[in-house]
Amino acid sequence: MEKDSGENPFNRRVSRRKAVSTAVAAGAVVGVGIIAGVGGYLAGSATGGVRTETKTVTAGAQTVTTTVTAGAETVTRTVTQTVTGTPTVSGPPLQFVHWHYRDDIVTSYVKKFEQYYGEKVVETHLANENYNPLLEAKFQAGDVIDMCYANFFEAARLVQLGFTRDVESFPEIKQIKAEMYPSIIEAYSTADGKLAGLTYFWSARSCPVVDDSILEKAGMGGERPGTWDELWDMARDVKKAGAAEHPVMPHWFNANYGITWDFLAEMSNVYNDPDLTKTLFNKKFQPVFDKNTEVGELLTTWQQVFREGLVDPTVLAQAGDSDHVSAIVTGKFAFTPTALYYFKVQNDPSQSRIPLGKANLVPVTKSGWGVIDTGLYCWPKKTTDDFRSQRLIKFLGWRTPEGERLTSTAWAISDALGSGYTDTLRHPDVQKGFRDWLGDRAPATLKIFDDIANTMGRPFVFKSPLYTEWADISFPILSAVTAGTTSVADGVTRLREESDRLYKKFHGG
Amino acid sequence: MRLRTILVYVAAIAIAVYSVAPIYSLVIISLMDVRDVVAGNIYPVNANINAYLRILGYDVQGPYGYLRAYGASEGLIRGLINIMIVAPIVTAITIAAAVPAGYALGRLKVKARSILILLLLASRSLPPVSVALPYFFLFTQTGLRATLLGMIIIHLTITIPIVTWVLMGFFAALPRDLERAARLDGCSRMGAFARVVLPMAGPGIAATAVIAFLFSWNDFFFSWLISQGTPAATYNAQLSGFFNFQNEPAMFAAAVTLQIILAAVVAIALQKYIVRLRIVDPGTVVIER
Amino acid sequence: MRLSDTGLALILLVPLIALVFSINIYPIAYSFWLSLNDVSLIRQTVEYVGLQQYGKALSDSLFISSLQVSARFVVESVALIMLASVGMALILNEKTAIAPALKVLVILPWALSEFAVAIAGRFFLDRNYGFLNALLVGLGIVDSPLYFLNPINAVDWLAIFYAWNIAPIGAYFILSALQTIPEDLYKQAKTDGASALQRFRIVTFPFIRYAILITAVLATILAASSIVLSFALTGGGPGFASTPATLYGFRVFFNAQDFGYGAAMSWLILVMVMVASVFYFRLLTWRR
Repeated sequence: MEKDSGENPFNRRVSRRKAVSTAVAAGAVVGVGIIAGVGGYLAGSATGGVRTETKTVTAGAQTVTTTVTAGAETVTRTVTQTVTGTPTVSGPPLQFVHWHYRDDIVTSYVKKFEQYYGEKVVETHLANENYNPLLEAKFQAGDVIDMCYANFFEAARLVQLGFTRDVESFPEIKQIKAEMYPSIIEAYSTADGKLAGLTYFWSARSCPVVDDSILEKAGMGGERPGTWDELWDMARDVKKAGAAEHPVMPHWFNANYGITWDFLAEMSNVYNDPDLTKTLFNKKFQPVFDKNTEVGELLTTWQQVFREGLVDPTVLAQAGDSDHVSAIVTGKFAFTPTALYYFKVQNDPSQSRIPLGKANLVPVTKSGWGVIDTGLYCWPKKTTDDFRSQRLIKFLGWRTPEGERLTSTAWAISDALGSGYTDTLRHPDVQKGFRDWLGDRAPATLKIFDDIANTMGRPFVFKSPLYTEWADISFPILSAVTAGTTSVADGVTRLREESDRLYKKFHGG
Repeated sequence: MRLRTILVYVAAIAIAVYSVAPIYSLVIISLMDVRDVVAGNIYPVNANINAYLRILGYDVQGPYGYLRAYGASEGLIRGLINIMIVAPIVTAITIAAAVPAGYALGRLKVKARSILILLLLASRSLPPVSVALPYFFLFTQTGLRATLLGMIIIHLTITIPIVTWVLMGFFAALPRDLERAARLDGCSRMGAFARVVLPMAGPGIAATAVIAFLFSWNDFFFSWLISQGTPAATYNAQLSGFFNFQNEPAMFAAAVTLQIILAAVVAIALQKYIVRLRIVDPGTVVIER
Repeated sequence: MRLSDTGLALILLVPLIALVFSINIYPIAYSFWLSLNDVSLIRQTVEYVGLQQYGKALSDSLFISSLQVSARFVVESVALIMLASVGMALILNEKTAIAPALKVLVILPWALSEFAVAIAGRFFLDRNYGFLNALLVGLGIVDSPLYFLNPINAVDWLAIFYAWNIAPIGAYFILSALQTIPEDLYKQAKTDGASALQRFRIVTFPFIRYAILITAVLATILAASSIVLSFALTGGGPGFASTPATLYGFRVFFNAQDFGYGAAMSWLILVMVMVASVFYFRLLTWRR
């Protein structure tokens, strides 16, 4: 029996995979796993206490002993040996569609699922920058898909377009929701309150990060802005002090998840409007802005700071966030608003030139930071098999039958991705993982993560199918206004026209 | 005279530098770690081939830390194999179809010649996006989308028009004496074509091979839109995976460099044949009666 | 039975025609039909609107400005391609010691896909860690890195890199024509007292005229349908500054899923490219 020893979970998985594979002939299946799995489900639904179940099964020439321990605080894994046998549920392979991110880790979980249930899963990668239209093209072409990633706004749109279903019909849905943050449940539900999928991750984009080494050069080391206006003021001081030519590398890269998401973040942070119903799209999804409202004001500020040279102008010609991250880690900037999962990259000496310990998140004081970045596992309507696809979604999006949360835990450890489940941050591996790269900054940073989770922008308009198209239309307009090639009045007028058109397309007329 | 020679050499060196400079910057990035890449070095610092090893699926120990293999390396390698199958087949079929067509349009009096050429070029000039989605749905309905055959077909629509058009000029400029002699000896037109013209068409065919191969090997848009996510995904479709959500310029550069090296091998081997195309105005050459 | 000209032509052309047209005809026809309709995926409706989508495109200020970007990109690319390919061909034609090595180097840029060119361009021009800036700053030519991909110059750089990619094939076409010119003509012209420029105009140019025109047509067609370079190098930015009509049409067609509108844009672009090509063809068939 392997105990949690705090070693690198990735190594642990590799060695377990090796152990398993040496005991298995090609195409072996876990007959016993099915029994243990069912037992695990039953065990997992118990609350509190430590329960141990031991099953002994003889199949073929091998005897296998499986011990499952489920509890409230500790999770203990056992070595599973598979035996040859026949699967009890089989059929064509399941189709899993997703974007690129840590493909090696994703594949390792998929393999785990395959071994556990004797299943076969085919992974399909779609290019990230056009993931949403590509996914919809596949649905329209009638492709059979059993599980797919989607950002929440896309997941909600897919449900409303009729390509996927909400997961309210999962038998364990009450249990699942009980284990999630209420704010995440709200953020991941459609307008009529149905959960659009199981949670893959949450994070926040455009959270300001400071480089204290640059601030120190300007004599401002350790200072923190409380609002975006204060951030721009500090940037002016940094530039005047000559510590950085362009103190800010904002989240303004030229993609629908670049400048548009930062726009949502700043709108919600600056005007204290977390769901953006007061300043952008109201609860009926009608646009409520024009060039004289806050939108115009924010864009005027952006034009201004761009003209002053406070931001690196090349950001507007970056085509994706790979460029953006590569720029952030050059260590030339005082402020680099970024996604929380890139904060770790900035602290990684093998990738970042920012001196160790100098890249720090700005705490939440006078205003919230960031906008929610969401990922869900969606359940399409046209699956290979409803039972088997549901099982796959739950395996990755909830937990294994032994109660282990694969994606949530490992992603929190390796990339500081948030989990929708409340117990992830209390997991000892996760806590240790954060201490590994943050050292004694860990408790403060984790508190900032929590604060951001409570104050970040969570646009209500994500629940409307119009958002995906709005994002694709808006980013070049926002970029053009910022660069000064379009006036604020013209840009916002055009943005409002498109918003009206989209509102009519999906909700009116 | 001396001055002229010096000027020519200076120009030659300038051309060499101009041709190589962007490739040089790409290659040195592929030989460095991320930390050194983002420092803006003009020559490789701590040069290593870790990026190449990682995209081929190996974990390596870098100068600044342990580096895992590229997560989608299997897909990348499969993409490479796919395009290594597709591009030569496309080339072969292009030659088989475009050589006769180029001869016909370049030498024979065909009434609809100009219209045909215009239509061919027009089909190639339509912005790809407007036909890409129709292809997407068409291929899905006919089951071709996840197959190499589908990619071959699409690449053929890209290569054949251009190649036919180039060969038209080439065939028009071929000397006619041998062919005329064969005809006078009683050869049919077809026989003359097969026995006299084709052997002379060697350089044209080789040049066609380069052009068709490179168009197929380098096609990004259709491969990306239609084959990505399927087992038939070509190397270019897989390359787009480097675009987002990672800070790996070295691996990106390595993957691109790999593609360039393989294409360059073909281009360099066959470039001398393009020179022998002897492209001259077919209008000044008498069309066969 | 002796085959007539047309008969043989038909036999030789049949494989080609069958292949290309049978594959192309459905998507092309379908895309044209799309341009005459208003297709709404969300409402699952298709509404015939005649030429309305075309009118809408021509009155869309963003489409018009993307056409301007396209025009600027095509004109600059073709001009650079012609200059570079003629220049390279002339140098390659000289008998120098480095000619063989040069031939290999010259063909190299063509071996890159458009996507690879975009990536190479990005690493070359980036302001924070790009090669060109590092070189200029390192050699002390400039104090601080230059902002190359600014709203005014982004298109210029796209054109420069596109020309860098395509010029080699033109260079080789023109080189192949140059090598058909008999040496005696040059000697004759020189003894007749012609200057270098006159020699080029009278001796060289007539021979390479067709190759130049082929290159120009090819360059125009390729540049007009270019989408990947702008997509991958600048994302069309900053703002719309480097968004050619092809990229804008792609976004409308694919991201906004407005198939009818996007198709109409594509056909408008095709019409313009064809007009340019016909213009070239007139030049081609025009006899002095």
